[in-house]
Amino acid sequence: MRKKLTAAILAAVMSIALIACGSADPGSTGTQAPSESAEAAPAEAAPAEASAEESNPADWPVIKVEILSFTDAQEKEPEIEQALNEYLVSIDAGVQADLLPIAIGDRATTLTLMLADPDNPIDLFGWRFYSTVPDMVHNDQIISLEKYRDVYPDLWDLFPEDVYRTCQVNGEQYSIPGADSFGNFQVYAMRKDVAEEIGVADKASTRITLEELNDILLKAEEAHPELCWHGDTAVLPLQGIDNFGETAWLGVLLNRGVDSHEIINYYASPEFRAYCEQCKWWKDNGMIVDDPLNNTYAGYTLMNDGVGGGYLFEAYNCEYALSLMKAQIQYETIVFQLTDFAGNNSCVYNGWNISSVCRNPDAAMKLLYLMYTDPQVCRYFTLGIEGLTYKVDENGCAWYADGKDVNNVGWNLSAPWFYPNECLSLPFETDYAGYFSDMAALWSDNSLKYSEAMGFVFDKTPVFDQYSACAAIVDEYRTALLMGQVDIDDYLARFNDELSANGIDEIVAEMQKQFDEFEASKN
Amino acid sequence: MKDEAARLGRQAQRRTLRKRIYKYRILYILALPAFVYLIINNYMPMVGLSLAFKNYSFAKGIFASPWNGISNFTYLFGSKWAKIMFRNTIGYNLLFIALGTVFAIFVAIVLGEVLNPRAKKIYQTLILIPHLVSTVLIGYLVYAFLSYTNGFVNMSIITPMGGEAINWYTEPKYWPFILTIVQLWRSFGFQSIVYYATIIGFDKSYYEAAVVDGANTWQQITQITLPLLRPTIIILTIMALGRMFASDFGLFYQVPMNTGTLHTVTTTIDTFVYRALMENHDVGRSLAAGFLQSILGFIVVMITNTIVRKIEPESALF
Repeated sequence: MRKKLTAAILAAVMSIALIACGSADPGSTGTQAPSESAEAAPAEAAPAEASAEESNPADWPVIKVEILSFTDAQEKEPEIEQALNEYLVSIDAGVQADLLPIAIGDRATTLTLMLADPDNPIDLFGWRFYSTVPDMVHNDQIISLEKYRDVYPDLWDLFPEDVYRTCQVNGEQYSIPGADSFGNFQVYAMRKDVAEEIGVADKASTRITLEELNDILLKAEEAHPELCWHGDTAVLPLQGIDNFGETAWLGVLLNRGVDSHEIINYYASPEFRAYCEQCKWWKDNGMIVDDPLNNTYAGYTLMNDGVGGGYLFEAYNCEYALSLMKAQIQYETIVFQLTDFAGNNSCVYNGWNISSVCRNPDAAMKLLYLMYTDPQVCRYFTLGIEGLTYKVDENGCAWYADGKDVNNVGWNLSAPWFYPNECLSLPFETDYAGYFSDMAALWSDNSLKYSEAMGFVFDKTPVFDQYSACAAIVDEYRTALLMGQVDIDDYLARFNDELSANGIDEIVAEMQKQFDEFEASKN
Repeated sequence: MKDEAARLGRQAQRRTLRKRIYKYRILYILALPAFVYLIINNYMPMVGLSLAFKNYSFAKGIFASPWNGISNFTYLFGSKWAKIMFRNTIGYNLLFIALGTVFAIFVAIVLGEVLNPRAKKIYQTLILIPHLVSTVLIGYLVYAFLSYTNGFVNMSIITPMGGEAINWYTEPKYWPFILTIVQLWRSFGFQSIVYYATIIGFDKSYYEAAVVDGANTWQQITQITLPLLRPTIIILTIMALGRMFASDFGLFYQVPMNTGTLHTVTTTIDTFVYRALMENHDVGRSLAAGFLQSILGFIVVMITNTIVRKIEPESALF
């Protein structure tokens, strides 16, 4: 009898445990819904305009917005959400926000699940580090924003027209680009003490040629053979290509797309061979990091670790580059400009979308509009609450609030670039007061050069099989070539043979066809 | 008459079944949560397999998404990678099953010969530790050995002996051996514990009788231990064959550190699918690969089990 009783109790315990495992964990999404808001959403799913007329803000629709988090903990989220919602009430916004911090480590999984879950939907999110606009449209994960073009016309006037095209599919706007410089040039950052030691510090922040850089690196290597001078050579501006944002570079425009109309198979071009030879030269002269095929350190990490003396990266001006260096590198640095400024699709790093499971797109668009245009709303996302998470100095630059640092501030202040319009925020942890205003000034500078393909989005669906095969071949060969690890003649020939055998010509032809249609649609 | 007999027979069967269920009702109740779990976790998700044949729309959901035939499968077969990934997936699995089983049985038998209980516990713990180490960590351990410029093998063995350092991560030819060694090292502990648990359950009187008859240790192993282990070996092998078209993602992705130059020997179905789809969130194509792996694994299990049932029915899985 006792055995039976024990068995019955065990069965009951297991059942309860299973039921408990299957039940929803209210805290599992990492957010605290304001005033039971998210759960109450079906009742609130009325058009935003109608809701706005409601006098009671508690009846306004609540929009769940993604917050990028580098850690799991964002302790100040409830206070910031409350402050944001109070501000939204003060301006009679007609919409409330439910901030949802998602840790970057499992962001892709979390977003994918939420985008497939009408019962627990996310309404507004950014595509950076997650997907591309064409892929999200293909998967029906986001909705078209075309119908809001007339409702919020000024939202389509913030950036150059071509920038908006980068987030369109078949001429329809599905995502609003995140504010950025939308263009850049290649710079080389070097430790200032090294530059002074070898007598090249006077060239700081000036435009130099690749040959001049090589001379500088030879001197630097001679003075400091223990340091490496390149962590990653797969940089686009130096190679002078517009890859349309496609990581495999299976079809590109040369000259960064400026006055360029012919898409080519880059890997079969003399330009790619020349760049491989340049990389091989760096490798043969001891300038490339050790074990580069499986060394994924960022350049600044190499410098901070005392392994690297400099590295290649992109910036929209030298002051901005130095500001970045100051924030990231413990050594004082200088930068050399290597190429001219140009804009292309690779310089559009983010965009914001309304999910297809959003129950109230009108309200979501209203909040998105405020995130793009209202500095106060923007700063709740980028900086938090003044006095609580940040303070502002006399130059208009923001710093951690007194007694706060990255470990105890309880909010992620280091990712303004993730939010719709960082240029409404304040420069953070820098003395460069023009950090954002200089960036925003580029949007109206008509002298800047942009790629002919700015806004061209390649739909790889017609050649998906060839594309996936060739992209895998690129993974196999490209890094070894760009890190100078292999014999170029033999390896490059094999690389191109395999690409040809697996359909790169069909990919380039399809890309050219779509690009021609894109150009025709512009005229 | 025959029909009547059959009817009575069925009635008797039902009565017997009911009686059996009633007699063991507590055990059935005890099994109920696990049964429910199995239904929820292993069978209900099978509805999602239909997505392998659909153009999945996040907005429309599983049932409303449009069908698109077999187009989700074509990317798996249309390139040089088809041959490579199927060859690698099947080849490595066969190798791991064969070598892993032999090695694990060997260790289990040796473990069974250790008489000191304290030493036995220490050995069991030591051989189990690699199984518990994260694959990412194993990847860095391998890197510490094989790094071209700082690795233990190059710096402490090859170069001091006058050899030329080997750039392991640009030479695919070494990696079938490296991956096999890593897989055996990290899996033999767990496998051998399973075999060892079976061995200690054997009736000791067989061995006592064998000793009385003058059998030496080798004869005891070959004449008693291995024959008694055969059903366990067969069941574990059949189960392993069911996973023959799947691969350990960590072993083939993390251990070689996703090094492109090694892809010809490290690309399996899983790593190819991951690399092809990691930016697309293409549910249909991902499921197509999983569907194919499951169906092929199921077919292999059925064939193997049928063969086993014909040769040795009592060892068959079902």
